Amino acid sequence: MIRTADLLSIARSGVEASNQLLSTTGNNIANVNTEGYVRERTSFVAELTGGVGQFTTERVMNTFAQNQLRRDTTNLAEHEAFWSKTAVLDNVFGSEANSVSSSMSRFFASLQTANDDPTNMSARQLVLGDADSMIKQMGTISTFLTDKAREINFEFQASLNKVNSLVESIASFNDSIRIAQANNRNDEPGALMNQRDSAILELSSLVSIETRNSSNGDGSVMINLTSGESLVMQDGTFSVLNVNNSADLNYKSLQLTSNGKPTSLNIAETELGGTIGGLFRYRDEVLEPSRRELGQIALAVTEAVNTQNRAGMDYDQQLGGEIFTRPISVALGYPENTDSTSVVNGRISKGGASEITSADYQIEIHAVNAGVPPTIDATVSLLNLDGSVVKDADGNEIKQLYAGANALTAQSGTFNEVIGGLELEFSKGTGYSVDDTFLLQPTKDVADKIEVFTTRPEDLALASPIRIEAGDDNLGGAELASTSVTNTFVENPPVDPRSSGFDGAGGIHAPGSAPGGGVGAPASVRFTSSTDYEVLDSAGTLITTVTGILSLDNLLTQAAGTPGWPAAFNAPTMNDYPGYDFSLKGEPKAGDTFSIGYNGNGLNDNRNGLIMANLQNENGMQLNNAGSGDPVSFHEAYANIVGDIGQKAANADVAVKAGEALKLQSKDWFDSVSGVSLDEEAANLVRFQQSYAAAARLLNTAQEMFDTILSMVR
Amino acid sequence: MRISTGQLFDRSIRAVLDNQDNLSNVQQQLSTGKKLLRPSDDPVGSAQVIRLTEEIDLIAQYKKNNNLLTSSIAQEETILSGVTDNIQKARQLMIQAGNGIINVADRKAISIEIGQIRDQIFGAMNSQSANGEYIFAGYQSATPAFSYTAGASGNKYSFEGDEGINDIRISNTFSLAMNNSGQTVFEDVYARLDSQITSSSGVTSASTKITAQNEFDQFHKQNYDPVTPANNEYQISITGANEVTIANVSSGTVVGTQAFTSGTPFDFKGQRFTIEGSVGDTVNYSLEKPVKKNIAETLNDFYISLRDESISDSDYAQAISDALIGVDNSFTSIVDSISGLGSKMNTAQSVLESNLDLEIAHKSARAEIEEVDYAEAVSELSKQEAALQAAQATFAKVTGLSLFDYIS
Repeated sequence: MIRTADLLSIARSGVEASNQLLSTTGNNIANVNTEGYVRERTSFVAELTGGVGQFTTERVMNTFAQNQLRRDTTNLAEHEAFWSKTAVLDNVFGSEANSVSSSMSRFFASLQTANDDPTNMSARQLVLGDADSMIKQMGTISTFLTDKAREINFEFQASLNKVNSLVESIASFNDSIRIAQANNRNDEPGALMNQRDSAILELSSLVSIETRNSSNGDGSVMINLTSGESLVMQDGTFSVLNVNNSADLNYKSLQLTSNGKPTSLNIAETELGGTIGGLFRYRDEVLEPSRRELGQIALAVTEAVNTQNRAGMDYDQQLGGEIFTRPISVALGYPENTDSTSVVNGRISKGGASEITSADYQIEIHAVNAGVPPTIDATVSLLNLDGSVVKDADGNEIKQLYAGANALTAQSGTFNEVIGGLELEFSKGTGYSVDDTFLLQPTKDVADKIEVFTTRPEDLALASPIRIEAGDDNLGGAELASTSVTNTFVENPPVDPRSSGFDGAGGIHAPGSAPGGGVGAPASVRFTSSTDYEVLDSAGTLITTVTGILSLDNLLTQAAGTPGWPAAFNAPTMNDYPGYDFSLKGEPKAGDTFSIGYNGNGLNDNRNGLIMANLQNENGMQLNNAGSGDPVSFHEAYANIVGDIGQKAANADVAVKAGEALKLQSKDWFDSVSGVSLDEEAANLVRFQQSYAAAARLLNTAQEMFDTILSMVR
Repeated sequence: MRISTGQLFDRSIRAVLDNQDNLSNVQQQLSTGKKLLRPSDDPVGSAQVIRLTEEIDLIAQYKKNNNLLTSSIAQEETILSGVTDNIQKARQLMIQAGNGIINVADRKAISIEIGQIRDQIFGAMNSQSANGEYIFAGYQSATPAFSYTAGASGNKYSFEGDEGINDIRISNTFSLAMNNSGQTVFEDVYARLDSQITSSSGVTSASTKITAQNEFDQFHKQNYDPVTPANNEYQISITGANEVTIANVSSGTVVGTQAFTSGTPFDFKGQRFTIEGSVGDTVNYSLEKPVKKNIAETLNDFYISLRDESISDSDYAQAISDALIGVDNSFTSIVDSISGLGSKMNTAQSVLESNLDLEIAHKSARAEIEEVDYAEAVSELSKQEAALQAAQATFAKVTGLSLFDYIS
């Protein structure tokens, strides 16, 4: 054994080593409450010539535990962000005070009360009051959701700024660590590394990331998104996330841009993970669908009531009008459009309640045809939230091309009916360019734009506009079973194919004023035997003869199938003419007549009101955008939204709990390796004090030995 | 496993916080009485609660509707049974008036009473509801259901309303008519069916009257043709010394043959003919068009006959029998309406009961989903309380230990 060092220098190195150990222990104790502090350990190697040699102070850490902790942090942050936002909606939709459902119930209940006594003005006034509170209730929730959407846009911006500043600071920590490492090969720059790790952990709570140590061992860390895009690169550059918009300025998407590099990448927002991914997922899975579904209910319920009111007769003995307004949504142009100011207007079509979906609509212009008025060839397609076209149950895309004879009229004030219960207005005429594309979101923020259109209780059309009267001389036992009114569109003379047999002046079309200019609208039915009847107009002119009937249902529909029925009453000239019908029960006898007339003075009638009140029980709404599945009632549709949000909140709640447990476990793992234990440090303190004392004693001994030698010489 | 000091504190405080969270949840359930605090507590259940609440609200409305319906039925029933009482009184007076010993002065006395009954019934026919609506006027309830026009050539009491009937919904699947129209109750009542001799050839005299009204009514109903009046013409031909043949004029179909002796009455289909003639003579008669007369009109006709001092005995007898039949027909129609009202009342009652049953079922289903089970919640509360106390106690124990305390 070669030990050339003298005892004194061995003792000195021992004192130094113990000193270092004590300082490491002291540092650990001092940092016991420092966030992100990783306990340190000093290790030594024995000097070949004797004494303790070079010492190294390192952080005690398990990188697997660290990576696991980061992944679990990402996971928990995503679910927490999703859950905390969803829980707010969960509470809003669940609260009884905010329940759209109970305000709908109140509206339909007051409609029934009005039906019980159709001439009672205060009951009618109550219907309008409840209509107002129903639509305001929907509006309140809609406004709340719009505010939430605005709020989340601010949150996106704030989180992105955070991500970008973290990315930047990690890149600069990398630089500092590289320099510190190069200067001192023995000591790890622990404090810097702790700060960088804290920044990485914070970043991992915002987005899902992967880390790699630099391959050239300079201590720097490279970071990329789990989806592969680099954030911090080996050469010291880094990338930042930017917000990007398409046609809908309030619907943000993300892009990645590198500093010093011209390219930018689109990011799949919902797969980002972390808080940002959770927020995007909440927006796309909960917030936006529920805004649209609420709007869909609002449009469907108000238009269904409007449609039924139009089919009735009001207290002023006029054909019913609208109870609710039909708000216009503006379809926004995509940034690529030739003229960024051109727009397309859209709204729910009359009677579109059962067709309207919660989808967005895309309008693509293929050709602009000059003419008076000009027309436009366009494709209208239903869009999912992610911008893909909605597919029906058979997997075909739901889109419709309007061209040629079906080209859409482009003229201010003209609305063209298109698929999905919508009508569109191309107000710019020929001002559109080929390939212009527009995005229409008819259900998005519509609920707070609908208003009660009328303030007059008289405008509630509880009565039916037609009255069937059995002839005084009828001998048979046939009596009225039911009447139906499907169309009350008035145009004089009736040219529009939507026209009905009503003349809008308290009567039905007389001979000469009906379509075709010949016989008038059906005004009476005369039986010539129990199975044969004639349909006559108001002047008693024969319109058609129906023979050998098997049932007394819908006598005019049966008449419309006979050869004698005027061609001008049928499609394509007229879509639904005359728009009224009736059924009998019992046995008619030859000579029995039933006259059809306008229900003048029929103020106590509630037939139309009953149908309107029964809309509550009708399955009059699309279940989904694909048009598959059985239609649902308004209440069911609302219950579906609530159930859906509740389901997502419940799932998120479970996911948060699971995420918490996972993170707890990985934090335990990490802490049990890297956390400071005061008891351990206390033991170390005693131990290192002793080794210090021993080394000091050795020094003393060496000195005494030296003194002994000296005294011998003296 | 190595436990760091931070972990020791973290774990202890987490145990305390978790327990506090659980405790506050149970406390909230107890204070609101609901275990379904937000939809995520039970998403399927909360969707069900919405639908059940809708049903319960609907049933509450149906109960209101039902009350309104039954009160309106009850009102109509009261009015109509008042009318039937009056009709019976009128009928007694008619029979009294047919008594042979009644003289002109007595008839006048009876006429005053008949006139009063007529006016009372007319008033009932124009009854108004509590809101001032004419209940028998159909949809046109703002105007009286029946009007009286003194100078009218035909019926003086005419119906002005329509057949409109308002339905009231009393359950999801069921609605009942709220009112009867005056058309069906009063107006669609036929006066006595009649026939008349239209022409004759060769006979010395011919007369007819209806002796068996029911038999005649049956024949009339089977054979009357409202479309072609010529089909209602019948010819009686004296075909043999002791025989007449009755045939339809336009079709030539023989409807019967009867034994005949000149000047002696013979009966055919409820009608008694007295013909004086010889073989080859013919008498034509036709079935008259059925006429509708409401009760007020019938009583008014009788009233006029009673006050007609110059009326012949046979006309007077005819007037009494017209009145009796008219009154009976009205009575039948009104009694039919009353029994219809009764059955409606029963239906309304049974629907109400089934609605009440449904309401209880829905409410208990809703309670099952969203309401808290107090016994369970209270025991949960004390359990959570104990857990919290344990967590707090261990916190102090575990974190109070430090090796430093033992190093001096």
